[in-house]
Amino acid sequence: MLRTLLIDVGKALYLFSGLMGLAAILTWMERKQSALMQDRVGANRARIFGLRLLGLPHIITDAVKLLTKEDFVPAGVPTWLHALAPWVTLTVACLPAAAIPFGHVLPWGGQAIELQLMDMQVGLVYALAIASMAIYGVILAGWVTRNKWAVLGSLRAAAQLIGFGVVLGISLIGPVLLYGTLNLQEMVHWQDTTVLHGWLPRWGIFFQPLAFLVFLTVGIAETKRIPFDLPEGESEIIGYFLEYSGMKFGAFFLADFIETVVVAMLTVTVFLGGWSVPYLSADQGGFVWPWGAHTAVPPAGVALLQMAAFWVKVFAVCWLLLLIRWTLPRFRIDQAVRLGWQYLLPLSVLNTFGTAAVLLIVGQ
Amino acid sequence: MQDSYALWMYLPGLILFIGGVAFVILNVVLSHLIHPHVRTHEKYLAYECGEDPIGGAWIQFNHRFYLLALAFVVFDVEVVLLFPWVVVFREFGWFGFIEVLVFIAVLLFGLAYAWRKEALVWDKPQPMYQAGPVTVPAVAQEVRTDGASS
Repeated sequence: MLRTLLIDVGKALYLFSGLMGLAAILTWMERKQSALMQDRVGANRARIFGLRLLGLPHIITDAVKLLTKEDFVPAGVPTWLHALAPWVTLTVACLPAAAIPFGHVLPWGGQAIELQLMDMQVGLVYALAIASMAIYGVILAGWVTRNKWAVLGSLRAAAQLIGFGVVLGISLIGPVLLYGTLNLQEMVHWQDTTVLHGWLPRWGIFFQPLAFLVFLTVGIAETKRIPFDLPEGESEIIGYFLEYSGMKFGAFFLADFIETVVVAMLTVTVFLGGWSVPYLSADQGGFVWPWGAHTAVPPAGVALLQMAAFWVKVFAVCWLLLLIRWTLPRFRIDQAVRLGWQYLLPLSVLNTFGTAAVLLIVGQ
Repeated sequence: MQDSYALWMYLPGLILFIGGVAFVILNVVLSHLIHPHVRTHEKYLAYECGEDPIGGAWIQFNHRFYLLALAFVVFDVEVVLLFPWVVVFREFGWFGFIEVLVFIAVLLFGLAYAWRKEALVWDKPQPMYQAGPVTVPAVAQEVRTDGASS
């Protein structure tokens, strides 16, 4: 029992540090990527023993700065509610990852460790449900701090998050119909094979391209980042966390990046084959190449390759989200609402029934 | 044993939850211990770009937020009801397909109604002046030969 508990703690720590680490790297990448795209140098001032290391020490200096900045509560704001909002936001941002498989099984001392925190039959519904709870932290932050800008920001966030939250659910019904399961691990197993005589990995994106595009768009909106950063809108209303400073602001800041990573994880799991490596099969004991060749890989190597593949894919999707974030300008609120309700919602309903009809016709 | 296993299954999720909670508490408490505490009157006012705030922040807000929330409740229930169908989709076949299609059609009719009533349009434009045909002087028309509309 103690062994099981230790394994559970180890898995949770692994996932948590993966989330936090990737989110921290994204804070640096965001600055370097934007600098590259805008022909600037970017973050390069911080250094350790004279080494600039491409600006990577900025991650540490940011943490030190946030820790040492004064963290005050404005007059008339209940302290515990003020502290509750970033707490809810960051915790809720982490939790959907608990249902996401980051590998298949790792053989460890004669025992197979399932590389997923919770192997739930309703994993996808759980992830969506927890992700939609992010709204509580945002509303709380805007409403209790008694600031007009913050209230406006939280109202906008409410309108945006619930509107796109509906589409987020419906856009994933098409893939779920295809896979026939809500279990995220089983979804990855469905994708862990090839089609077209072994040439093309059977990833969801090739069967549900429309759902992929809609989900990615809505995913960006759910992370409240540009081009859907209406709740924050740095140049106009600053945002729902306006009255936060110091480490509490840091929690909001980090939560945004964690949400980005979680959206990337969901995208990878549902559409990009999750932890599966193209042509690598655990049953066949190695790579089975489309031209018939076979490369043997030991079972532990297969598990490690799959775990690495998951993070590589997540990182790639995060990078794509960064590119989008620095390419598009902010939408106006009427554009965002129209996009969500009048284009993406009917489109995803259409995709759902198109998929269902095709599956029924093919199945008969 | 089976029952206890069912609960044990959620333990890693609980550990992740505790990790998230502890991370924030640890950081905020640590920050509270080391950051400066300098009290000035202005710092504790609501920030409005340097102006003294006038009135409270809990203002009357645009009613369109309310309409969107209503539309959300309707469609969120739709999503909740769609997921069970998805699970039994293969057993139900065409029968279930038609049933759900009818259900969605009713809701989409509601969406079309909201659309028609412009509940989903954020800012219904109400021009101060009635737009009429714009008369462009002949001189200006000659100048605009680049295809731009007059």
